[in-house]
Amino acid sequence: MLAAVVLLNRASPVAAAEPYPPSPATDTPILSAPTPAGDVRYTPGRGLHVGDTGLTLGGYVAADLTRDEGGPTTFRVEDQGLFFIWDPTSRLHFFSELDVVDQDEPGGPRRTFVTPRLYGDVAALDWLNLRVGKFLTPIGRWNLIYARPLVWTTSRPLVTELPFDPFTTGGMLFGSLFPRGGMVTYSLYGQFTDQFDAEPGAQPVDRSVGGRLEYASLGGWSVGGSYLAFTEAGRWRHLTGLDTLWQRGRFELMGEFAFQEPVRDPVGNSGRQWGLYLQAVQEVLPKIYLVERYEHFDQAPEPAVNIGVLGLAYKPWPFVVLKGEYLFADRRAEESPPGVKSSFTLLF
Amino acid sequence: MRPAGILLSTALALLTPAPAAPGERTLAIIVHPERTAALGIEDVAQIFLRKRRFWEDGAPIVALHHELGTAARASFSRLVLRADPGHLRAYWDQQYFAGILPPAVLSTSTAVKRYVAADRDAIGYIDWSEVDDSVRVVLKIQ
Repeated sequence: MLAAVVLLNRASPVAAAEPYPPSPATDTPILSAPTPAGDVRYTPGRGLHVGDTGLTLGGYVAADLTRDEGGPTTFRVEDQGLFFIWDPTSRLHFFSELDVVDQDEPGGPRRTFVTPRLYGDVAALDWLNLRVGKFLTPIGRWNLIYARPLVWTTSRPLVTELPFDPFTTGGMLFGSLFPRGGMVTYSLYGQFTDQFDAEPGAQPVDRSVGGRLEYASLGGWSVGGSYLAFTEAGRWRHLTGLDTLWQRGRFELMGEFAFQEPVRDPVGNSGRQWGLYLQAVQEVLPKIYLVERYEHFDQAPEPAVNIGVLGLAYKPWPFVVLKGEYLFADRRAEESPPGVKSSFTLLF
Repeated sequence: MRPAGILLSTALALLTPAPAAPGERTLAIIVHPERTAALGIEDVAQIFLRKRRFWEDGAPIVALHHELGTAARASFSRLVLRADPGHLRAYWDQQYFAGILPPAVLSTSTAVKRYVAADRDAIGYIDWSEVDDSVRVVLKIQ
């Protein structure tokens, strides 16, 4: 992997010295070969385009070096995802992501594949699209861009993962309308079949129905609201969420809030979860970003936890991110323990 | 870090000035002569960000970019997309994660003009001085 990065660096032309430089020339293919099916081209961070077939292969990988407080230093390849993108026509879109995971079994760890996403889209109009398959649950923002090269920290805010199942297997209607100055995007979805995960997630659901509405201004800000109802152990539960993103110059502010109502049972309310995070990112030097995040997460009956993250991210090339951060908290949460976390991520 | 430190850093970030824009060239947004749609600069931005993908008659839009590093592409990014290059790159990273790829790229203005003149569903941009009767200008940007 390191050798590949070195080769890509040597292949990258020197950036033009204009005051508002275009994106680095890594959008330009570094490999192009004619074939009977058209030119096969590889662009770092944009995948391998297979001629005129409409097929693109790509993916990402992340390796973590962490030292949690009171624990040993560990190194592991945490995330490996492979994309298969196929656009046979302008109205049909197929997408699959395969992840390589290590499963702990009595006979020793075993490598296997899971399928976080596998779906097909049919586009009728901008405001009317149908998706069928397994896809990311559209709640908030982080869950829709959870791949490690796309987010600024090695750690993930608890509220973006724990209160709901990150994946939905079923169908979704979605689309966009374009009022003056921005875009309104909606999605209505439901899980009407079992997920095909070998390993269930943090909170698997049987059936669900939900919706999301987002307004995005061309001025660089957007707000969104999400709602999800799902069955867990035969009971319907409800989750609501709000999120926002604001970008100005080289500064970005992102935040999310989610609340899951408690289960009402004979011995009292339990299972309430709510949380929020607010994250600021600023490019403080060329290619170097300062990241600050505050999180609060409350999962009854456990006491609430407040988490702070202070970190730096370095992008030597647009498709490579090196991250280092210190996570501190007023209480140790097992899902996000305090400590030093660093990672190397590559989008390919 | 103390909350006060976080607030101070955020305030400093907000006060950091955005990069200055240099002098621009005049661009023409062009479509096929039979395409009668009226487009504003926001519509064009939505099209080239692949947020808007269909013409009003339901036909799929074929958007054509110039190569990165060209003066036309740089001007288009500044005048139409109006996004910080880093944010734009992050946007396309996120789209790639969703399986959506950027618009096609042609290497010259002549190629863009020829393609648009031949394909009723295409849209592109060229320097104002290169406009002729083979295409229809829907927007002049300067």
